[in-house]
Amino acid sequence: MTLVLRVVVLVFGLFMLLQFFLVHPAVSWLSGRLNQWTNIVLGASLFLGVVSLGRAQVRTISKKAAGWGYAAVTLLGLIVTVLAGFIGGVEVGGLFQKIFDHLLFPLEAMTFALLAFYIASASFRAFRVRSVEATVMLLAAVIVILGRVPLGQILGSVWSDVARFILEYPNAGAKRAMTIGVGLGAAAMSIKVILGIERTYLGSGGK
Amino acid sequence: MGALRDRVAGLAAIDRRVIFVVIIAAVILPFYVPLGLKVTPGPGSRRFFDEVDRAARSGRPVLVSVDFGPDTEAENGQMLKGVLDHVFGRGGKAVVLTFQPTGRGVAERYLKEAGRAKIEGRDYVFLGYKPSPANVMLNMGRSFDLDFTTDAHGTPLGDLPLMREVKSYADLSLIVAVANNAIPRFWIQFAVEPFKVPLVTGLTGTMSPQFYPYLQAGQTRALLAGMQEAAEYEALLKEAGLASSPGLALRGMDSQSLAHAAIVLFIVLGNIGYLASRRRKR
Repeated sequence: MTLVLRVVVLVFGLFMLLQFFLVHPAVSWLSGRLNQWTNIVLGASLFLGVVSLGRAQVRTISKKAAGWGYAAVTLLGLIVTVLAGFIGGVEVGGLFQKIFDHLLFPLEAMTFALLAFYIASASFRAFRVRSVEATVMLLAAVIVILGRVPLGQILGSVWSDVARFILEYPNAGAKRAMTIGVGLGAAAMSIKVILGIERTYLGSGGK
Repeated sequence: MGALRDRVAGLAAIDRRVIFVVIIAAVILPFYVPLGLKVTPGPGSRRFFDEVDRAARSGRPVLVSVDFGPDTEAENGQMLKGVLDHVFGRGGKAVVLTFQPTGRGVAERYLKEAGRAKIEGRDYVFLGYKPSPANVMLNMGRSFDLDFTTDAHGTPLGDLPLMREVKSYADLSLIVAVANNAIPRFWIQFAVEPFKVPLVTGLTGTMSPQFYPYLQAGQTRALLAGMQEAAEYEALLKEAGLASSPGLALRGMDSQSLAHAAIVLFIVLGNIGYLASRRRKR
């Protein structure tokens, strides 16, 4: 069975890679169909995710484990939202959209807004002139923090220009290096999976 | 002298509640007492404006990818509003979709507002949410109907006049990705490179530093970074007569400026305290 799965991964993995290099209507047609299959599998995995989430919450509630109240709220939210969507539809004006607008919207926005306070507090504690490297980072941070708001323009256009320079050159250079590294790593890992060298995705240690 | 030194050293350990109160004040006060700081459009926002303007005037529809949720609505929402006002204001058409589950509610809200004077199906189409961005993007390059048979409201694509014009990326003038995540990178990998379709991006301040390499490579033609450049874009729209009053991004710049100044002030105070305490230990 494992051998069959490895052959399937090899054939489909190679095809998905080669589709970018083979310009032929048949290849285009087949890769279009394969992409549709992937979407169907993903749809099914979303359903599995919902079932798994529901089961985990039910288990927490039935055992009255720590935080079972939160689990009850999660489960209730899940059931009500799904029912609202299925019964009333997801159009503007319906219950589903009202739950989104009046519950999810403010809750998500509030949670994200809290970050501002934690970032302020963390910056205060983290940016200290402990070493040369830390001082360079502190200076870069202060220049960018002020250079990316109109206040930086009051300090002079040079301030904003330096902030832009930091973002467009040292930052972009470092980011490019990381992206290339991650890309090479991902390519190496993909080749190992396609060739059956890396088999942990099969479960039981790939045996 | 010793007491003063102790007090200065104490600055290194300011109670975080003090920081929170100052940040709240810095954010809220400018809404009641505006500072009136001037927002001058920079090269980034000008390039973004020019690209959207050219696309909206081209006569071919613009694809707008709404890849953010309510969490970053303060930043991304103003970009999306600006793009929709810009495209519709120039008589352009828009095909809108999202790859983020919570993006659907956000997109509907902004489309409803910006598309008040427009006809759905003729001037704009909302395709709704799809998972698996990489596959969908690849398929859209071949044919939209591989993954989309109806719009978000269940109307078959064939019944929508706008979608009769749009079969693949070749029929679009531009892709505008407004996001708080890495989905614009998928656009670059699976649409820009294989199908040579132009892309511009509007990103949150925290995501934008990751996209400068793509901007320099020309894979995203313009990058609107954070609320500052969203405000600059709003100012450009106002200049062009496409927005009548200052938007939320412009109004928010006073708050953001003051909050950033407060953060820098705390960093400076913290370091004064840190240096004083280090000297005391010696």
